[in-house]
Amino acid sequence: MNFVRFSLILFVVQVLFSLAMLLTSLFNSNSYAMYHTISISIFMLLTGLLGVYFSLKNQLSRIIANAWLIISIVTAYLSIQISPFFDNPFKPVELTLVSITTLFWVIDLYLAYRNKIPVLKI
Amino acid sequence: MSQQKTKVTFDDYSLEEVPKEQRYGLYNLFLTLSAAFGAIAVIFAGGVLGGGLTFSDAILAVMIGNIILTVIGSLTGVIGAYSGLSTYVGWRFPFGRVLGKIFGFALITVTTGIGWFAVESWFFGVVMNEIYPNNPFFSVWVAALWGGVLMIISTYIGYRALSFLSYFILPQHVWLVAVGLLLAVSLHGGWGAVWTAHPSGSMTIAQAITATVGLYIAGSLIAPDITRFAKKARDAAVAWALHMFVFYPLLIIGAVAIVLLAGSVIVTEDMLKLGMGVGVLLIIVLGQWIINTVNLYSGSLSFTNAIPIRRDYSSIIVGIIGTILAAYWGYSAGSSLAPFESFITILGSLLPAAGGSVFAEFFIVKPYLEGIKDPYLRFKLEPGKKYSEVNLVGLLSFSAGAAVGLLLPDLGIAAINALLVAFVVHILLAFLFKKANIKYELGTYEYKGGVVK
Repeated sequence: MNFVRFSLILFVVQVLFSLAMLLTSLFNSNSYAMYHTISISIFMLLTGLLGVYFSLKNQLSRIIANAWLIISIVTAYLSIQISPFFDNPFKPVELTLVSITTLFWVIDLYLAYRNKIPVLKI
Repeated sequence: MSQQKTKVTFDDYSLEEVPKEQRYGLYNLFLTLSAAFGAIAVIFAGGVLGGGLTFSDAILAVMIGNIILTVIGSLTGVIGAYSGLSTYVGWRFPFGRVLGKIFGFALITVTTGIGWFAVESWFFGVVMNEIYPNNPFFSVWVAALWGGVLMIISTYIGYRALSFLSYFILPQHVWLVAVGLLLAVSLHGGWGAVWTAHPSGSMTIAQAITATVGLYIAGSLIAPDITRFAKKARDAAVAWALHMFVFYPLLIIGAVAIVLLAGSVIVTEDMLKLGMGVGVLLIIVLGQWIINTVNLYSGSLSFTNAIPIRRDYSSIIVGIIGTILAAYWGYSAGSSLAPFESFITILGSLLPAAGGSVFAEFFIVKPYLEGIKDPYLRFKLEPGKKYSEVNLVGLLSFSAGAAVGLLLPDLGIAAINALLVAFVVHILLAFLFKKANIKYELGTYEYKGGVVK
C-alpha cells in the first residue's frame, strides 16, 4: 500500500482513539489523572488532524515529523502512567489505546525507512 | 561506491563545506539545537536562581539573558549556515590555519570534548548508582564506562544520530518535566503561591543574568557545528531563536517555581516522590546521553580540525579518553575532579573572546575592509586560493578579549565584555594595519579542494 495512504488510515484511527480517551476523562474522578488524559487526548487529536491534512496534501516530510513527535510524546505519557497520582478506572483502556498508537507510528516509520524515504531528514 | 558514501556520511563533512543537498530544514535544526537542553544542568541552574530571586525577578533575568544569547547564537548560527563549515574550520579565517587548529583543540577538544564529556559521564554513573545502589552493573565507574560507550557510539554516527536522539528525546523530555512541574506546583500551593514566595537566599538581577548567559554562551558560540547543516541562513537564525524561547525558559523558570515552593533544588527528586520513577530515569539517562553526544560531537569536530583524521574516528579517540577519566573518577570516588573542573572552566571562559574575533571578521572586516559583500563568500574555502597560517589581528584581539574576561570577572557580564573587547580590537587593528599597509596575515596555505588539511 502507498505509504501516504497507510499513514492517513493511521491518523484517522488516532483521531478516533483520542476522542475515545477524551470521553473517558468525563468519568474520571481523579483530577490529576483527568488533566493528564485530557492533555494527551488533545495532543493526539491535534496531531491526528494535522496528520490527516498532511496526508491529503501528500506532504511526506511533515508526516514523518508528526510521527516522530507522536512517538516521543506518547512514550513520555506511558512512562509516567505508573505514578499513583494518575490512577483511575479507565487506566487500562488509556494504556491500551496509547500503546497501540505508539506501535502504529513505529511501524509507519519503519515502513518509510524500508521504502527509502529519509526518516531523519525533516 | 556505496562504501565511499557511507564514509562521507559518518565523517559529516568535518573539514569541508556541507553540500547543499545534504542540508536540513527548520524543524530538524530546531530540535537538534535543543539537544543541549537535555542536560539536567539547565534545570539545576534554574534551581540556583530560585534560591536567590523572586519568581518575577527570575523571569526578568532569564528573559534578558535569553535575548542576549539569542542575538549571539543567531549571529554565529548564520555564519555556520552561510559558510557550511564547522566552527573550528571557520576559525581559520579570523585566526589563520595554525591558530585555528590550536584554539579549536584547546578551547573545545580539551574542555567540551574531553572535560565536560568526562564530567557528564561520571555524573551519569553517580545517578545510576543512586537509583540502583546495590547492583554492580550500576556502580559509579561501571555505569560511567558503559554510559560513555553508548555516547561514543551515537557520536560516531554523527549528525544523523543526533537528529534521531533529538526527535525522540526532546519532546519527551519537555512533556515529562512539564507534567512533573505542574504536579509539584499543584501539590505545593499552586501558581498563586509561586508569585508570592520569597527566596531563601539573595541574588541581584545582574548576577542572575550573568548566570543565565554564562550557562549557554559556549553553546551559542559553537552553533555552526549544527547550523552548517541549515538549508537557509534564515532557518538557522529562526531555529536558534525558537529553541531559546521554547525550551530554555520552560526548564529554567519551571525549576525556579519548584525551588521557591518546595525548597528542594533537585526537580528529579520531586518527580521521584510523585511516583514518576520511569519518567525520571528517562530524563536522566536520555538527557545525559543526548547532551554528551553534543559535547563529544563538537569535541570530535575540533579534534579533526587540529589533527586531520575522519571525524568518526576522532570521536572514538576523544570519547575513550573522556570515558576513562570518568571511570577513574568513579573508581576513586571523585578524586581530582574539582581541580580538573576548575581548569576546564577557566579554559572555557576564553571562548567568548574567540567569538568576538569571528564576528568582527565575518560581519565587518570581510565585507567593509576587504570588500566581500556576499555572505556566502566571506568564509568560503575556494580551491587554488591561498589562506594565512597565522592572523596576527586575530591573535591580538583574542588575547585582549581573553585578558579582559579573565582579569575583570566581576565587571558586568565577563563573557560579554570579552566578546565585545575582542570584536572592537579586531576591527580597529585590522583597519589600522591595512591603513599602515602592514601585513598581518603570516604564512600561506593553499587549499587544493576536498577536505582542508
